[in-house]
Amino acid sequence: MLGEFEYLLLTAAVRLGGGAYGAAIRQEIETATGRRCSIGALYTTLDRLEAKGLLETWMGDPTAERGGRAKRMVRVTAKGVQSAAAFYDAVTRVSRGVSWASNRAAALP
Amino acid sequence: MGLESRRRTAMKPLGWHLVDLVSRALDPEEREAVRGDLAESGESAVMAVAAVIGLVVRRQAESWRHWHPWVAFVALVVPLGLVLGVETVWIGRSYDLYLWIFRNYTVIDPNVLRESGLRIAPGAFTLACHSALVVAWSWSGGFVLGALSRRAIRINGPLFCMILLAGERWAAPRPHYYVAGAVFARALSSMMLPGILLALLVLPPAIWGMRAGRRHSCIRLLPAMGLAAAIAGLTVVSPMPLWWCNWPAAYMLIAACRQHGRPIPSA
Repeated sequence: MLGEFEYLLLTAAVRLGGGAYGAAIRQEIETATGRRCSIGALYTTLDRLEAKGLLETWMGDPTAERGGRAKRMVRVTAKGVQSAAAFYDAVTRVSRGVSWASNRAAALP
Repeated sequence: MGLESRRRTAMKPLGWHLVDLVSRALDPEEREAVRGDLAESGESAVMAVAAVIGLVVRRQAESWRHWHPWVAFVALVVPLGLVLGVETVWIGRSYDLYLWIFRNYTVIDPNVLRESGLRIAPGAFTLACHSALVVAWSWSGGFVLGALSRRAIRINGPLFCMILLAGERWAAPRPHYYVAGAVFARALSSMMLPGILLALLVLPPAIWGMRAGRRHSCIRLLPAMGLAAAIAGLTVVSPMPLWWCNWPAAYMLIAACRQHGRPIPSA
């Protein structure tokens, strides 16, 4: 079973698709949660998920906007998608019938 | 370095130099990605330093969750650090004595030398072997320390150096042992020699070994056999045969045997 932050990271990476890398994932998580996402938490979780086979990472090409430094690109594996779906199903099931869950998704921006 | 690059370096605020300094504790690829992320997200230098320190601390905490760095600490950092520190003092005393004899050879009564059992050629040979043994212990100890500690070498390495210095300072002669002013020059040399020997015979090979061990967890079989044989031979002729200090060389030999026929793994 995934942890909350692991789920957030996998979901953000899937949403970003081919543009998933450290800074973009961090931005995505911060926008979605409204909380700061530390670089330490991000990179250690990336390693953990990679060790579990839930995602793959590789070094991309350097870009000028990053001061000529390379990105650590991220791709979620099929196993990662399965794990994220299982986590989402569990959260949905456990939230069924509780006051804050009813029609909540429709109300979100 | 080009003109533009030099200008950018000169204009970089102090805080970003600190970020560069702290991020050296990260692995090269991770450092590259993190520094790029910080540049892209437009973090302030203070926040960037805090972010990098946070990551470094997490990485260290993670590496200490394994047993390897603890074994390296208990079996190498403390005992070998202390022994090598003390050994340099012993070697320093021998160097001091033979240097003194060499300087005063023409005025020393040969009968005094003969009665004391001090003979220059065999003494110099033993001293050279002892020095070579300390170099070999330092390198092999550093190598195994790097191989076992991996990322935790950033803590175990400085601790090893500190314990070396502590061992050397603990065993080194104190100035108050030498009350007569006439022998102060000799006292000074005997106090300084261990520190010089530590800086020449122990620290460079130990640091070199740590770096090599961090990169490759083992060496090829033939060099490992050569190293083990050389260390065993030097231990036999050593005036203080501390066989247990040879365990890093034995570990390297076993690791090389297990890896024989396969490529040397890189970090």
